[in-house]
Amino acid sequence: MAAAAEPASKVITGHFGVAAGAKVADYRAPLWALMTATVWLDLVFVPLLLLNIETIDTLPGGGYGNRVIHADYTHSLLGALVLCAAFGAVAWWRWDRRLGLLLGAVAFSHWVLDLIVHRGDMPILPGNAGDLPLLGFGLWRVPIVAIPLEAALLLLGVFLYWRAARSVGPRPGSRVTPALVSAALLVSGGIVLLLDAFGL
Amino acid sequence: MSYVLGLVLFIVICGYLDTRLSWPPRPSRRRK
Repeated sequence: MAAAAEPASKVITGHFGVAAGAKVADYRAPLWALMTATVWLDLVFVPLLLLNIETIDTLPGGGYGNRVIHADYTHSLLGALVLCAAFGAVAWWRWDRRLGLLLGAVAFSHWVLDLIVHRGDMPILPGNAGDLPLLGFGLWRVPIVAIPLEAALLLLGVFLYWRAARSVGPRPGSRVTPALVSAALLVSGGIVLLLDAFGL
Repeated sequence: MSYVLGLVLFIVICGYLDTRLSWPPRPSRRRK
């Protein structure tokens, strides 16, 4: 089946969990930048999907992870390294070297997590040049493991975020507390993972 | 749907809430 308008049933919650937890590496890293970094490869993927340069094939039955994703440029190993380096370079230019390295690493964590779940559809070189072996350990074939893994990443990430946030507290005059932000992360992750689990 | 919702919830809403906490300031390298 041809590509949908959005990259449905990709890893979502797990990526955001990793980004939340990455806050402990440098408290100065804004959460919005960490969250954007963790989905950076997918943000580049969307326009290529709309242009039919990269595609998603839905497997019979549909549902959670039941797709083969042909993101041959954005999710190739070399392509991901280049895109993540570019993301990190912008953060380095905008802020400093440490934040640039952190955000580049968080961006590349997307590829690593995708490697675990994808069904052998991730090339090494862009466009699958050289017809090298495709990568992906295929955990999506076992949703009963993949879904709890995403939930665990979310819980761990939110716990690490909460612990870091608790040590700094709210800004003067702000009613937003560390517990509120952590709860928002947890509820957001729960909703998204539930929808994703049902293939929505 | 879950993906777009995830982007909005995590980047926009949680990202905004995070800015209301007293994290240490970020350095700015922009030249004046």
